[in-house]
Amino acid sequence: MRLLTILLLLPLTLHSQTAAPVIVIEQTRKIDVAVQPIGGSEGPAATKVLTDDLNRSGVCRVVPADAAVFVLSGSITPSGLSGRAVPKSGGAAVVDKTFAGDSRRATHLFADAVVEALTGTPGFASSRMTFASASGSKKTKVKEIYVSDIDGANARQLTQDKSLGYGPKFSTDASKVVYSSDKSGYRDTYVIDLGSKKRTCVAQFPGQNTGAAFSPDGSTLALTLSKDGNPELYTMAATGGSPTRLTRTRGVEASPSWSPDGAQVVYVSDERGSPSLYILPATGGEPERLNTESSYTTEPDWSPDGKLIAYSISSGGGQIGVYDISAKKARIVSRGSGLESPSWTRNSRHLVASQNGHLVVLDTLTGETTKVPNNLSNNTEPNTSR
Amino acid sequence: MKYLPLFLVSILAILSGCADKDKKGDAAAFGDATDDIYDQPLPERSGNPDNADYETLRSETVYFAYDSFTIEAKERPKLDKLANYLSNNPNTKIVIAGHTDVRGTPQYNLALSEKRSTAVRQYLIGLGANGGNLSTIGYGEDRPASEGESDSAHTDNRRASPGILR
Repeated sequence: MRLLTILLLLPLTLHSQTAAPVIVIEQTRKIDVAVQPIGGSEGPAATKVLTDDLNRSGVCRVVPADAAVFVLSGSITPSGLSGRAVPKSGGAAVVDKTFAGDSRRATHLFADAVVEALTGTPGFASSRMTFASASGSKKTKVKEIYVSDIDGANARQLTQDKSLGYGPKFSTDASKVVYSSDKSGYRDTYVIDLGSKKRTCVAQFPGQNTGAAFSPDGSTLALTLSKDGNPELYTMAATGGSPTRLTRTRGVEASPSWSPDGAQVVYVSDERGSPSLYILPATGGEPERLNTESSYTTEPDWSPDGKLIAYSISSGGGQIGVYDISAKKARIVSRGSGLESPSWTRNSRHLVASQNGHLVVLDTLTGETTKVPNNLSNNTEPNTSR
Repeated sequence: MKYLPLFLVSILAILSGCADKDKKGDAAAFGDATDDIYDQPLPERSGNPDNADYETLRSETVYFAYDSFTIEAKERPKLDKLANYLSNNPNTKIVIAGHTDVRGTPQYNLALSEKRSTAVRQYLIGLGANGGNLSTIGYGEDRPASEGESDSAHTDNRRASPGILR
């Protein structure tokens, strides 16, 4: 009987092998910058924050002053940080501004302004992220929802549900987080207003209510409901109300992510076998399958510039792929294994992802990952504010 | 005689491969193969799946192949027994708790586990059970029966367990 089971599973195992696309890792030239010690009593801490932000940006490399092309300096003021970036060859400052906020926040804003001055694209150091963190095991396992800065600092527990929380996602303006939890015994969808800390249950239909994502304008949620007897994709008002059904298949639909113009949704369906990615008009219509050349692809995330879709590839041991929509080409952008749940930062180049229970920032151009330190265990499903 | 079992095995393997490919839940076995059979609206919620009695009907737990919600032939006698139990206890409400193994990603596993429970529910409705007494919950990979990454743990964890709501 044991042998029978193994033989029965064999064709399925073979079926799930991946025809991996070619891994393209581009080496990008980094701009050498020097960071002079920031003045003020919180200066040393801010200097380290700035250095880490710049190194994580993928754009700069922090070097000693004699090797630098740009020199950064600043001082902590009562209201924030006054920062300057000047070319070492002389000439006008590319950044010369006072950034508001506590020293950490103001330093992140300074780093983002430097990156924008050097590349034309804002950095993501001032972004935040939300994620789930698990503790306990088996029947006692709980997953609570957290928010933190994108460098791991200022981690704050949002929920105390003592149940399984999943898939937190920010609204575009980062004022709200939507997630699902089985705290009622069934899996419902909740919206937390981060300002007032008020939580509202927005979807509690019979069966499962999960995987919700805010539309770019914040008015609508796309999510998976099983109320009609099968996990299907729906949209509904973000404040709750009557859902509109988008899919009708024999399989499983999950993980919707909106195009930045709100016109389309990319999602996962296993209608034709192992899970793959599809795009559908947000008002319903004919789904188009994306050929990623990988099998078992899930968790799509549409980039803020609208050009790319990042996703998880489970068949290769946990890698991240990126699909270029206009070129209709996919590539694997990660090294190593155990990576899942990619979420684009605002530059449409870096992703946050989870890797074996840790959170990482992944540069899709180089494949480099930077671990995001925190004191929490089993971190999953990170999502960034943009 | 020596070769007969192997022959049978390969036939079964082929059937199983096909069934997985086009992902027909076995509800299609009930004659009319329209998609409508997959629309079996769930009843209003009752009871709390956290406190359901999963012991009484433990031997009716249905197991699944990797990334599949197909109810395999060897699992069907359990559902015949369960349908029989439901017809003898017409006022009993049960919840079918779906689960996956730890491979794959969280949201897809949630949906797949829910699909396993709705597939069992549809099958029971096909056997004459009252759908109004059958609720579903999907726990994804986070309520494993066995811990670990071994094949036997994976096999134990890909399941749908009927619990009596109280």
